[in-house]
Amino acid sequence: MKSIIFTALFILMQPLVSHAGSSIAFDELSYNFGTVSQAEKAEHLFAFVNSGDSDLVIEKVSSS
Amino acid sequence: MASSSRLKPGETGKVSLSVDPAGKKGPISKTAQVVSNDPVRPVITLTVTMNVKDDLHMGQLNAGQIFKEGCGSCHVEQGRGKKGFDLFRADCFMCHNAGRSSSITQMSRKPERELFKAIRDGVENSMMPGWALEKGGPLNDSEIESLVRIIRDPN
Repeated sequence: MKSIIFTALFILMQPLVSHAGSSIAFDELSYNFGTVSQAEKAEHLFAFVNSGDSDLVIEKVSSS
Repeated sequence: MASSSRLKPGETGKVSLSVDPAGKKGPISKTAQVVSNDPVRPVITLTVTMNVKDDLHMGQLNAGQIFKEGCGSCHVEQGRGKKGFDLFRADCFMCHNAGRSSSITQMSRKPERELFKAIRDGVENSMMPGWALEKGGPLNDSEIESLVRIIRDPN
């Protein structure tokens, strides 16, 4: 019985253990502006959350 | 580009990706690489895509419009009095270059008769107008023939 409880606890703990450290989670990784005219500058904001359990540091954002 | 560079657990942030489509045409994309201290996914690639429309020609259903005023200064006047390659460069190349309409290499594989007809009468359901005088275009038969010749044998 004890071992079953430990096993159950262990399984429940899994998601927490696997998130050790910071974790960057974006709502979406791509976005399509559709058809735009040459005169329209377009900007999109990609939202993310730190779903980990320690501070998330964004070291660099580079675009091409 | 990121709203904040250090986030506590549960905190949210944003990465901005902007595109200036001036001077571009057709499908384009831009990517950003986000490097963080996430031990599992230290590099994340974000992509934005768009289709840039060709403002000058949007909504012009009749290809022959390019011979009318306003368009003619580019599509007609520069080719006046020219033949062969010079005429091709002046009148044809703005559309028939890589990636848009058929290139000269693709066209060179077609029979002379077909090329002559396409230039003279235009191609239905395309942006290729009929260039012959009787179609409202600027070219006589001998000018059209000079184009067919250099398309068939560019060397």
